[in-house]
Amino acid sequence: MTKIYPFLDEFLGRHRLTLLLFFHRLLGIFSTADKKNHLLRVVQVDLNMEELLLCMMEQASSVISQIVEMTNALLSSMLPGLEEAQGIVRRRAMEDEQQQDQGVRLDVVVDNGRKRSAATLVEPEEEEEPEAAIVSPLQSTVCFVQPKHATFVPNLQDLHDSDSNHTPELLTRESCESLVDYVLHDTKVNQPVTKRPKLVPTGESQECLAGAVS
Amino acid sequence: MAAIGTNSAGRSGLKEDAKSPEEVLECLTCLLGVNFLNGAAAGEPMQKNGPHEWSSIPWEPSNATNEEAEDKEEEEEEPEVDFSSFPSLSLERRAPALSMDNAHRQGVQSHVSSLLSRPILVSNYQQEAAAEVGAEGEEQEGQGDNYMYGSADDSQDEEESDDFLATKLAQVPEMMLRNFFQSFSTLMNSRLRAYATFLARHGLALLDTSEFSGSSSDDLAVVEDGIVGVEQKLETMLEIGRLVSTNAIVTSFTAQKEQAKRTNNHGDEEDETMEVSMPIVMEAAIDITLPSPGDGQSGTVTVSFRTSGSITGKSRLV
Repeated sequence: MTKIYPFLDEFLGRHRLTLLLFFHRLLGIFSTADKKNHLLRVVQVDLNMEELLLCMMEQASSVISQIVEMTNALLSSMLPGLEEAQGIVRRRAMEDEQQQDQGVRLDVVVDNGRKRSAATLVEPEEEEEPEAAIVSPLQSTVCFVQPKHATFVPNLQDLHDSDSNHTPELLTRESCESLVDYVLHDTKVNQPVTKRPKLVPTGESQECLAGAVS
Repeated sequence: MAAIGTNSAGRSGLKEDAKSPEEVLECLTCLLGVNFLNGAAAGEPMQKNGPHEWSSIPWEPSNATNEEAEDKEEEEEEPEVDFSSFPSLSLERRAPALSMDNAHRQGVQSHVSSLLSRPILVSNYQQEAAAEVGAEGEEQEGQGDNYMYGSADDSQDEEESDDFLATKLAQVPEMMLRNFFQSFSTLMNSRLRAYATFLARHGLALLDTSEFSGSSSDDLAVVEDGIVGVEQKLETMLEIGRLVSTNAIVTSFTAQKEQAKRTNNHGDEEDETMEVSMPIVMEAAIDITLPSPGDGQSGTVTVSFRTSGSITGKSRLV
């Protein structure tokens, strides 16, 4: 399925310079004119290599960054629906968060004398096709969409509809905990039932009661 | 700066053109710079920066009319073996690579810096011998400068075989230029390789995800399409990297003569040796063409480099 390409060990190999030698008649000992006649010979040329190396690395990185940018731009042009699809993905993610925050209420169901809860979407929206998630890795340059997020995002609709046969494997622990927290704290379903106040006889009531008896 | 002298004038008549050691070193520093244009015709030499030519440097004692001095030189049985040392700027590594991980990044940087600092050695004795042969060859018209080494192809093969030895000082600038470009290409290649590795690993991570037992068919389809997307990105990036080309390279060396220092090593009146050193600045620029396979157009990016250093010359009385 996945082809691992061999890296371009010599991607610049064909640009190897064809340097031509040309020869100069040169001794390397040069005459100078001082008070006396001196011969000068070059002993050494030193360069700050660390400074040069840092400069080379910085420039190499900048070139590669431009190559990556060109790659992204080229892929965007090859897939014209890419931006729109990514917008759909982002919008869906935001909608999912909003649904988790606002759109869930708890229904208490009595089943054979045992209470259990179920989450229900108040206004379930139309599910959009998840095709946008397909192309999300194409655009990202450094941080890619985590496959866990793309694949295992909890689906509240599934939780509601498939009360009997939903697959808990698709739910992450975090999403379950957030759902339970919401149910417990925001819908007040666990508020205890108010008991009827106990009647306490007073003096007036005692008199009424005595008159009625007499 | 005006040319120091003209070698075409022959061995005589150079006395009035001779300059101070500082001026000679400054001129030599300028001559270390060279530029290479990719569009140059075959057989065309690389162009030198500025008005200087190697042949313009007085290459023999200015007292050329003093025949006694020449005789004295010829009577020397064993010539003094001295070397001129220039940084090779080469990352080519013939020994096995050191095993260093990212935790020793500083060590890697020092190691690479030491590779770049490896010297190109030019033997003083070899230069003299080459100059003598060259002088004889100059008399043979039609053979020109190729007299010493035969055809240009042979000399090119010889140059490719060794990047650290030069028989003549005039070869040094081109060797430094070639090594510098190859070193930069190596760094670019390593960066591209690192990014390609990153992409490949991301594809493998997606592949592992697709094999997750609990995934539904829709999820698997999403992951598989993601893998295809990573693959397309990897292909496109490597294709663009393969088409990167270089149009021109320029190296330039500038000496700061005003900061030159003279040092008398021995303090002995009879010992007339003296060292002259001055700071230099090396600048380089490379024009890189980045193709755009989509629209067929390409853009040129110029990257520039700069570092400082020093040049040292040794002067002795004739």
